[in-house]
Order: sequence, then structure tokens, then C-alpha cells
Amino acid sequence: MTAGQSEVAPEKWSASDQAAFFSQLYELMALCVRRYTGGDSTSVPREIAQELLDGLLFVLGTPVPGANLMRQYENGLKTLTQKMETAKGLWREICLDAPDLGNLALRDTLKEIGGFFSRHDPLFAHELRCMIDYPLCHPVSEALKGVDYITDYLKRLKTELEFINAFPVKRVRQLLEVCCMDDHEQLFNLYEPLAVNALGLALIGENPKKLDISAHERQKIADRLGADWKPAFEKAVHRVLEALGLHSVKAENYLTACVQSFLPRLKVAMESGDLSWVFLSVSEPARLPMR
Amino acid sequence: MEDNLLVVLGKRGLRQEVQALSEYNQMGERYGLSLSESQLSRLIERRFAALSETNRVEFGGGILKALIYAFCDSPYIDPSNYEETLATLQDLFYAFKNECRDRMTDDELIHAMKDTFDRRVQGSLEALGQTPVEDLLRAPEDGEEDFDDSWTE
Repeated sequence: MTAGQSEVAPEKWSASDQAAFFSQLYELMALCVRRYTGGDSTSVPREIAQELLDGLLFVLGTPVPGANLMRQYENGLKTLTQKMETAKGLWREICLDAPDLGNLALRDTLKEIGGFFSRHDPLFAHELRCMIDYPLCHPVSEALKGVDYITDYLKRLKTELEFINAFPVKRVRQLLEVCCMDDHEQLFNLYEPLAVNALGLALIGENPKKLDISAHERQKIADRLGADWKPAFEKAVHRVLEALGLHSVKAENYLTACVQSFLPRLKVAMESGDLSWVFLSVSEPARLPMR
Repeated sequence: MEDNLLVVLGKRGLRQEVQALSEYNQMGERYGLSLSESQLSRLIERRFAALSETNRVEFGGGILKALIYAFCDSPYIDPSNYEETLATLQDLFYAFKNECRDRMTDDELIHAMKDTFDRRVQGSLEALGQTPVEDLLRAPEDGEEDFDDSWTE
């Protein structure tokens, strides 16, 4: 999406503020083109110019009437550097703590994000110069760009991996094997099946860390879910986090959001009378259709 | 109103450019060549048309002053064809930049265009326009001055 004139300098600005803003923006664009071409060319293809403009606006941030745009740009570059350092630190932590589950998408995505840091160009700071294949339980907003997207992705991934790491790794591997045909190769989120099973166990007072749900326990879950599921799942969220020793607001919000996203699927399953593909069994596996 | 920011920004240099080009006018006057303010304005408008035609965007001064500087001593330019020659050279410049996929710097391209215009096509703009971009940097024929042909596609 390209920026329109009215989006960048709001129409409520005075005419002189708008004129000053666009005049300074022109000079900044000339600077960006010079930097991009190394001073070798005064013109660039339109697509490149658009990307340079998008990168410039990303660094500038929210326009302020009467501001010195060059100073704002320089401050924006400093902020960008700080954001990159923060994101890189977060990435390093995740790489060190990531569970060894053999999931290729997760491994390759973490490697790709490492490449993002080395390929990053402040002239195109809005770009995401990496392939992010591993799907999160709650995807990042597409409105975020560049390092903002990466940072949000990493924060969510960290929350997910902390949750996964709280379970015994053997039980995690067993559950993921029944999740799909090839849990190493396929693109699916590792957090959600664990979260759903843990919540199901918590609903019926069982230890969430067990992860495995038998047919008998599935029936107990169905019986437990009465007219109003909301309070039951609210309690289940707290029981799960308590059992796992996770006390952050982030962990709670993330698990609560997971409940919201899987409730429609649960409703359909309850109506059909078959919860075997919602609450998974290691001992009595029913192959989950990949969504 | 044109809401595309890039288009709006690209046209903002018009007033400043007429003023800046007036200074370069003095260079051509040494060879009996000069441009009135209205001719300069027409050339700048033609520049915007050429950029639009070739899907390019330009910030800063634009290429016209470099063309004036390079071509003002050409034996094939005189006051009667000065404006139109510059306009066509401008059109060709942006087209050649696209053809070479920006692998030639502005200076390299202008030098190659001038050399071709003066030595090979004897001032024919049509012939210059039909010259393949790779030939612009072809090795010189016997008797011609050597120039750098290290650029390859």
C-alpha cells in the first residue's frame, strides 16, 4: 500500500505547514536517492522510488506539523537502530531456549530472521527481507512493517515457546506426532494443540502437563461443558498457567486468546458429538485434518 | 487532486529548477547557445513527461544541466535546434537508463551519448535513438578516442 498525500500530511494542517512538510520531504527523498545510487544517478525507476519513499516514511514515523524533518529522520534512524538491537536480543534468547522438536519450519524461520538482521537496509526499513513460514497461534498484524513486525512476531513466539517448554518434552513430542502426518515437515503451530489439550484436562481437574486425553476423559469434558462455557474456560486458563508455573499477563492473554479462537471449532465438534479431533489422544490417536 | 505522494513530490522541483538551469545557460552562451525562460520551462515540462513515459522518478536537479554541460560544444547543435535537441536527448537519456537497467551511471551514459552523437551518427538524433545501449559503449573504431567499455550486461 502506498502513502497518499492526505495520509502523510493531514488535511487539518495549515497550508504553510503542509507546504513546508512536502518541501522537506522532497529534499529527504533526494537524499535517499543519492544514497541508494551512490550519487551515480539522479533518477530511479518508479518502483524503487516508491520503496524508498515507503522506507523514508517508516523511519520518519508520525508526521508532526512544523517539525524539522531532517532531524526527525535522524532521530528515526537512531530509534530504528535501537529497535533492531532489541529485536536481535530477543531473537538470540529465543534461539537459545527454543525446544528441540525437530520442526523444520520453526528452525528455518529462526534462521531466516537471523538473515533479516544482516540484510537490513535503513533505506528500505519497511521491508521484511526474510521468509517467515512458521505460523503463530495468533498472527502478527499485516499493518506492521519491518523491524516492528519482526519484534511483534518474536514476542509472540517467545510466549508460545515458554508455554511449550513448560511441558515434559517427551509428552510434547508424543502429542505432536498425533497432530499431523509429519509434524517435522508440515507448517503448523506447535502451541495450539498443547494449549487445547491442557485446557481440556484443566476443565476436568486433571493435570494439564499430562497432555494426553483418553476417550473417557473426552466424554468427561463434553459433560463438563454446560450452557455457559466462558467461566469454565476462564478457570481452566488459570489452572493451566498455575500448573505450568507461568504467571505473566502475556501468557494469560495469549492463552485466553487461544480459547477464543478454538471455541467455534469446539462448538461444531460438540454439535457433531465427536471431540476426538479437538482434544487429542496419544494412546487412541484420531488423525487431525490439517486446517 | 493527485493523491499519489510520489507524483506530487516529483513535480515539486519545477520552480527551483528553472532558476538553477538559468545558471547553466551561461555555459552554452560561450558557443552562441542560450535558452529563454519559457524554453527552459518547456524543457522541464518535457522532462516530467519523459520521466512519466519511462516510469522513472527524479529528485534533485534533474539531468538537463548535465546534458547542457556535455553537449553545448557539439558541432551539430546550433541555436535553431538547441531546445529540441536537448529535449530529445533528455527523452533518450531516460530511455537508455531503463534499457541498461541503471547499470550505467549518469556520467557514463551522457559521455557515451555525446561520443556517439558527435562521432558515429554525425548529429542524427534518430540514429542515436536507434543505437542499442550496448553499442553506446562499444570499443572505438580506428582513429577514435578510446573509452571505457568494461561495462557488460
